[in-house]
Amino acid sequence: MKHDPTFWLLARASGLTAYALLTASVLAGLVLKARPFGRALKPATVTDTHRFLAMLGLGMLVMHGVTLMLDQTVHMPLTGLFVPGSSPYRPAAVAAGVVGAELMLLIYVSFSLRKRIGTRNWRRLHWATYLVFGLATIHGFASGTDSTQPWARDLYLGAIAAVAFATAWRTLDRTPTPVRTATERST
Amino acid sequence: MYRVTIDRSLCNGYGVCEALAPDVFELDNDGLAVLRSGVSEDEAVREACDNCPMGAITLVQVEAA
Repeated sequence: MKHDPTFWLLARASGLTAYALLTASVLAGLVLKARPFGRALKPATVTDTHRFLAMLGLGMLVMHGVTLMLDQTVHMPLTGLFVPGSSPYRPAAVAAGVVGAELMLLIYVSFSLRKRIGTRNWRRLHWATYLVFGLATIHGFASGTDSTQPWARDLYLGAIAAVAFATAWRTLDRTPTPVRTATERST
Repeated sequence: MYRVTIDRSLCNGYGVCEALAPDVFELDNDGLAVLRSGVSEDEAVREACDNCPMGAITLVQVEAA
């Protein structure tokens, strides 16, 4: 009987889509603070977009895991999806993806826990997003079977370049938002 | 009586505070919240604080002088 490729195709597509959504969410997060479009883009809208893209990315990761388990190409056990290093297929490269995904979920959930963990800790944890992006890039490149394709290589290089560019913009363009205090205004 | 502060680095300009307590909060030219008044007796500021999507508003209850 011929092997049905449906789940294998879905597993690859969902992995790449999750990576694209993660990249888009990171870019939206950087645009939120760098504000390259000035007042044209409401920060509230950008925040919602940033969180929505991250949520879609996590949804894609669920699909990535489920379809890998259902498919017979790499024989992924359930533990391989959650315990780093327990995948029979390319254990190190898959571990990067597992740790990255778990960290991404933690950062996503931390938004709702800001009151409990404190704003400062929430901000500190958010820096780990760069680690998530790095791990996702390594995972995608090293365990993805499409990595030898020119379009896949362009996707990874494009994502790295975009995140690096937006980070540089965010770091260099530090125009402080003027604060008007209540006393200044009361006349 | 509440003493109101806004963490502007957290504010993302949802404008919930301005909608709930327009006497105390408004959005400035950058679309971020500023205080019209640093103190208020209005319970609406409590509602604004509880409903800020970013949790950028802090209230301190003080005795009215």
